[in-house]
Formats: sequence, structure tokens, C-alpha cells
Amino acid sequence: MQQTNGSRQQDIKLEFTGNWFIDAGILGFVNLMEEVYGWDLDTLQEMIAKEPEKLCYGYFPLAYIYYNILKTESIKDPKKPSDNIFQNSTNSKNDIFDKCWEFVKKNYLKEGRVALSSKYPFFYFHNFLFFQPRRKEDKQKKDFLQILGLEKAEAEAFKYMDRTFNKFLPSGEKFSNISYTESLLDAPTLERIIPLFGMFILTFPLAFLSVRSEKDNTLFYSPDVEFTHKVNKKLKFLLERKTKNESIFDLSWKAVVDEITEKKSQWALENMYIITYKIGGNQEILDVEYIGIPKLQASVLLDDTIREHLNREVRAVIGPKEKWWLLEEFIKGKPLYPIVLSHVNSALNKNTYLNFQACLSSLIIEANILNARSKNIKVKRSVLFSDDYFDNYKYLVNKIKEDERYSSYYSSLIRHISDDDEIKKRIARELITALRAMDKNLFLNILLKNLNEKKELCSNNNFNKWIFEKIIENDVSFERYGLVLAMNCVGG
Amino acid sequence: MSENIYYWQKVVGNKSLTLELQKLKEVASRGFQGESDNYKQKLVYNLLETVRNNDQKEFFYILLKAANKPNENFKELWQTLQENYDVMPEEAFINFAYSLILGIMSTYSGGGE
Repeated sequence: MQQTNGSRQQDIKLEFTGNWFIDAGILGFVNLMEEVYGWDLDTLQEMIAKEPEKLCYGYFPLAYIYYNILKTESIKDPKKPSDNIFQNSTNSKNDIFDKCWEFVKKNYLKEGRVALSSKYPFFYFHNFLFFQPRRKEDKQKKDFLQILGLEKAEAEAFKYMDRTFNKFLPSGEKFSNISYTESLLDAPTLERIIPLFGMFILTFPLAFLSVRSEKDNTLFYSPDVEFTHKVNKKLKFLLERKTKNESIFDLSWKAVVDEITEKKSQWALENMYIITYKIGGNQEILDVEYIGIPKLQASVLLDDTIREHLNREVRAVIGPKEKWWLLEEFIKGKPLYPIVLSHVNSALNKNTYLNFQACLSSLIIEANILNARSKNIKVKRSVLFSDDYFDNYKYLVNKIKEDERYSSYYSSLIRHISDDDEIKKRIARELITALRAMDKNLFLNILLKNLNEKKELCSNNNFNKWIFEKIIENDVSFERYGLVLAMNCVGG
Repeated sequence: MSENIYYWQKVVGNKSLTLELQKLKEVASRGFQGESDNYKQKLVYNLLETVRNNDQKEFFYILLKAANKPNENFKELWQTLQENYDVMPEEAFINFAYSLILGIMSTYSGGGE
């Protein structure tokens, strides 16, 4: 902010910088301009290349103030700025800003101040400069001039970047050695990352959507501005049209995956992060989560059938949580087996609905991943430089699908073990007890003892072979296949 | 599961000994092919009991007693058992035993694809 009349805006491009905080601001900027003027990303790119002054010092502050007033309803029906208001202006920054401020003074003044309010998404900026209720119009103008770099920055907040600017940083007092070293994150540093960063700091909260509840702020972030913009836009569109029965998580995945399938961009998915935070009453940041999607999971997710099967919510009481999104857990790299085990158990004992297909897929996917990993360990091969890695795990995906077909049929033969549903349920209960005890011996003993009564089933080549391969011979993932058998006895 | 062909390997002197569960199962299956279902069902039940109690001594006692017949098919089983017995580590007993039992069970009449 030290430069006042430099030509730094000439270098502005709407491209992600790799710093997610600034990138979120860039996305928020695009969202804002699109919402207020209806300009899409391409138009904005063109404008910022041709007439950056009009966009940054005219259209932007106007849109920001208008959007704030509109969302916080501090003035009823505020006048919407037209998208050609600066068409005939010169390219002088100060002239453009003056014209913008004239419009603001004429339309958005209330009790001697611009009616900016720090409610709803703007709560992030509670008490920040021009949002303070005591700041009058002249001071608010000064703040804007400083943050846009048109005047020399005076406020402390501009010099050292701390919590005032970015809630994800500690406060000034907590940078204990600041008096010796100064904060590394000062204005000139940020300016080297992107010129006019002040603008993007203001738009940071506008990049986020409330996906899980009204209070959470979620952003699907990938290092590509166009992709990120499209995914989040599609998600917003879907959220607005959400019917009661549709789960929000389901929707968000639809948005992400639609976009990926359209663009065939595995790269984008692999580098995508889901960033979530909540903001508390004292503006403390709560429940912050950054979820990255590992390459293996990304490859598996790109397959339509597998994804569809995993994109389900199942009831399973583990700890305080009662409902689990299999896809979400899968992306986080958490094991699905305990969830499925608990789900099957409750279906069995409480007669609740058993989501058979989702459970089957989860178990088979996990079993195959475990087998592949153990194979890599056996031959002392690093996954990172293995063929699978460069092959985008296509081999594994095909294997999973093949195994799912094969195992779903062969394991279902166990349903012939008895015609009586109650007997089958008893067997399922016994098998699950053995699985819970992680006792392979007990599991096989129960299974074979019960099978021994049903001769045709024992000598069924396919079934016999399946049990041998998937359970007896398999020490890595036999529980998964064992649970598939138990599930078949439960029915569903 | 082709990657599991050799369930266990051990090198004794210059000789590499391997425990092949698949082969074990096939041999057991061939050995008991001609026996009656009732007899086999009872045998399987008894063998399962011993594995449950992890009683290796009893398991082999029952198995060898059952295979102690002047039958050409059992010769192969004896030979395989002899080869594998040395290789089999303690912790592989369960897989070893269930492979054999499943092999016997696969010979019940009435099966198919």
C-alpha cells in the first residue's frame, strides 16, 4: 500500500496465485461482479486487461457497497449500479473513484455514513475499518482510498497483516517478536503475490457457500480459477434448487463431478481441497477443515458406477455420529469397514433398512485397495513410483469393478444355506460376532459348520472357490468379504 | 488370486519350501472323492472341532486316520502333507486346515457351477 500512484494494477490478472487465502478472495471478487453486473469470468478477464482502472476503482467499490447493503438490508431496495456507469470516464484512477463515490453518496447514505453493515457474510469483517458503525462517510472514503492503494496507508491494519485482515492469522499481540522483525506478511509482500490485494481481501468471505448448515462456510478449492469458479457456481445453483430429500453433500459432489466429467480433468480433482470454517460470536474461527483428495481416491471417484454406489448416507451409530456419508469418509481416507459393520449390525438387530449396494461396494473397494497396498509392500515397491500411480490406478478401478460383479454373485449363493429367514439371521449374527472379535478361525468355523449341513452349496464350484480365495487364502482383507457374506444372510 | 499362489515360503539349505494352499485343497479333494457323503460330513465336523480348539495334534490324528487307506488317491495326499508339514509355520495352521476341509467339502454330491 506504500505506492500511491504506481502502475501496479496493470499486472493484475484473474489467476490463482497458489495462496489459497488470496485465491478465495479472487473467487469472491468474480462472484461479486457476476452477481451485481452479470459479468462472467471471461468478460472480467477481458475488462481487467483492457480497462483495469474502471474495474478496480469504479465498478468494484460500487458493487461491494451495493452488495453489502442489499444482503444486510441496511437500506431497503438500494439502487443498483448500472454496468455502463463508467463507460465514458477517463482512465484516471482518481476521477473514476470520485465518480464512484459520488454515486455512493447519492444513493447509499444513511445517517451521515455509507450504510455498510457487518452482518451475514460480512460478519467476517466485524469492526473492520469502514464497517464500524461510528465511521462517518468522509472516514469511510479514506479507508477505501487506502485499501485500494489510492492513498498512503495510515492504519496499522494495513501495515502488518494480522487477524484484522485475515482471521486465519494470529492477532498482532500474538506475533510476539513483531517489534523486532515486523510481520512477514506485510503489505509489500502481499503486493508481490498479487497487486491490489486489498480488493481481494475484502471479497474473501464471498467465495464461500453454506453447504452443510447455515453457519458453515465451505469452498471447493482447486488451483485453477476457472474450474473452481464453475464448480462453486454449479454448487450454488444446485443448493438453491435443493429439494428436501436431497442431501447437501450429495449435491456438492454432483457439482464437482459434473464439472470434472465435463472437463475430464482428473488433475483438478486430485488437487482439489475442501475448505470449511465457521465463525463464532467473537469472530473466532471454528471447525476449520481442509480436506484434500488423494490420488487413489480421486481415480476411484471418477468412475461413475463406483461413485454412485458410494454416494450414499448410511445409518451407523459410532460415537456421537449416527449418519455417515460413505463418499465423504472415503475421501478423507477413513476406513469404511467399521461403518458398514455397524450399519449391518443395526439392520440385523433393529430391523432397520440395509443399504446393500452401498455396503457391498464399500467393502469391495476397500478390500481391493488393501490387497493392492499389501502387494506393494510385499514386493517392496513404493506406491508413488509404481505403475499404478502413473496409470492413474486404472488397473485397480477395473479390478474393483470386476470383483464387485464376481463377488456380488458368488457371495449371494450363501442365501441358499437355508430357506428359513430366521436361521439365516442367526447365522449372520454369529458371523458378525466373529468379525467383531476379529477372529478368522471362529468365523470360518461358524461358516463351514453351517455350510456342512447344506451339501450342494459346499460343492458348488464357484461358491467353494470364492470362499477359498477371498477368505481362507486372504489374510489382508478377509473381514470385508466375510461381512459381504453376513450381509447376504441378513437379506436386503 | 494369483498373487497368493505361494502362501508361505521357507528356505532350508538350498531348497526353497513352499506352502501352496491351492494345491493342498485340490489334493484333499481328489483324495476324498470316492468316500460317502455321510462319512465326509462327520469327518468335516470332527476336523472343524479340532481347528476351533487350535488342536493341531488331534487334527492331524483324525486326518491321517481317515486317509490311512490303501487308496491310490490318498498317496498324493500323504505326500503333500509330508511336504507341507515342515514348511507350515504355527500361524498358518488355520489357513492350512481350512483349505483341507474346504477341499473335502467340495466333493459332496449335488454340486456344480
